[in-house]
Amino acid sequence: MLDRIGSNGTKTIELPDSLEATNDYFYQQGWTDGLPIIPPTPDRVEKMLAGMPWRDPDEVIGIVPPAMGIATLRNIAVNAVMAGCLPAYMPVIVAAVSAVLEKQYGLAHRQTTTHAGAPLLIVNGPIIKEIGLNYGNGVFGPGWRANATIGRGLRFALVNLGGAIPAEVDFCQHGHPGKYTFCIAEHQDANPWEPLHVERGFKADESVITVVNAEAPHSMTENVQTNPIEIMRTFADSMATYGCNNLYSQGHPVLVFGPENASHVAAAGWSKLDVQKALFEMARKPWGIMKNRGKSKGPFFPRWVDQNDDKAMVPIINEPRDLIVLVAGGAGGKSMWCPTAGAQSLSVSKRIERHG
Amino acid sequence: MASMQTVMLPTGAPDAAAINPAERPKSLQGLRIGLIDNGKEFSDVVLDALAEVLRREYGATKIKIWRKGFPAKGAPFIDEMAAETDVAISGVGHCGSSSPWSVIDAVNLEKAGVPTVALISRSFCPLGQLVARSEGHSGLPIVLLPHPIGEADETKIAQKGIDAAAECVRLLTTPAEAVAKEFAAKKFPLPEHVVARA
Repeated sequence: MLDRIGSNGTKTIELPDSLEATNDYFYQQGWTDGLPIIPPTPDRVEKMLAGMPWRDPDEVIGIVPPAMGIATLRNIAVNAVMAGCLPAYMPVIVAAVSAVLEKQYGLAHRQTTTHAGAPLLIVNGPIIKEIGLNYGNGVFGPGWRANATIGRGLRFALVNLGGAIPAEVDFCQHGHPGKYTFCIAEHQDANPWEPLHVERGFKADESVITVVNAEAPHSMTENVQTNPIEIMRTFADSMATYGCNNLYSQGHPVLVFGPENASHVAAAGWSKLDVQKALFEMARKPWGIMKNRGKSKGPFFPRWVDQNDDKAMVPIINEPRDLIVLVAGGAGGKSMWCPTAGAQSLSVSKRIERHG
Repeated sequence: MASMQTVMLPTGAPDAAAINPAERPKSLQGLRIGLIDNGKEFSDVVLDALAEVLRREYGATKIKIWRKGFPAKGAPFIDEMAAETDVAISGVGHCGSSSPWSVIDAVNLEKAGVPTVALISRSFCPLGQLVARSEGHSGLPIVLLPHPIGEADETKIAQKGIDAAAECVRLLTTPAEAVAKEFAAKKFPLPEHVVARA
């Protein structure tokens, strides 16, 4: 096997011409997630790069910690091929790589932490329907190629360019099923409020990716109540728990409304900001109980909490708009809650490039 | 012979310039010693106990503990600290977020010419070593502490700092070339609970 630098700066290797041989070799190197990959032959990589023809393939998108590998369009494309992506997904993966490399995401410590967080990708805008992302029933689950392979492609880039090999460098104590793939889209048609990207200042016709380092989604059932304040009571009790990092270091946790829960709340005249304000007030625990448990308090722990008062109530976010609220999923009385690591890793939204 | 195909590798080459360990003194007597407390749980207990041994047994009189407050970030005071420190100790890395940053703080102090060791618990030493190498400092000395650092009896936590003192002093007073050689070749034990991929 000859290991050499290709003319384009990306290394290549000669392997026996079989799917099995490539998979065995890549698996042994720790470059896969344990599932089979598509061998990234030069012609497949060229086809992947054709999904973003307005960009130079050797352009450096950034440096991926902790191994400090150089992310060019070309070696992102290598990882996208391995993941089974279609070329049309390339702009989404490139935007996702750019997003996790923003300082406020804190990728260096997200790659190595014991905390069970994975980069949750949330897509908004016209590209959702253009590339067939699932935003409805089964949104967090398997079955849709775009969701499955975009999340997997980002994951491969983080492992292979950033060296975050599980249990060797990535010390996520129990791992995270979202580290196979973790990509959803917002159900904008069922959202009674402004979609996430519009809330964040993008135009409705722009396509945007938001990345947030999130724990696994936790189902919150509210089949009975339709009164917004009672729905909020159920949510708040699921969200503010003593094992939850957000109680100790806040940040940008995620509430994914099911369409039915959202429609009840909106029908009563509530805005999205009303939801965020209600959960800011209601999802709290008393300082006297949480002060000596859980974990160290984060750098953005709210200063206005009176630490001389054991009855002072501690919120899971610093201000209402820090709670990411979106609508996705299918029929039923469930909504989902994804805690995050805390404010040492904040969410980042990036426009997805569509043309030159 | 089977026909071959060319496949592209999914990795990216690191681009860090190589750094050598800072020149080391022969002893710590009379030197200004700086300790970075990364703010991770129990790091203060370990470092306070370690500082006490340096005072009692190694003639250190000028010890300053710099407290970072939160472990998952680079120390914001490296330049200021380097200006008033002759040798340094950075720690304690004992999780996946604190360990890389304690190593990066140590690398930055070394770059500023301050001989430094990083204190990392056993589980995270291979990670610390990878980060040091990615930063171009394959010879950065890392002192292995037992894992976990936290336990019910605080005197046992402090003992981990006391036990690490001699190794810290050795690595801060051994000639830089020897330290570089030792750590470039060093293989830390694999963390506990890691199942090898078959």
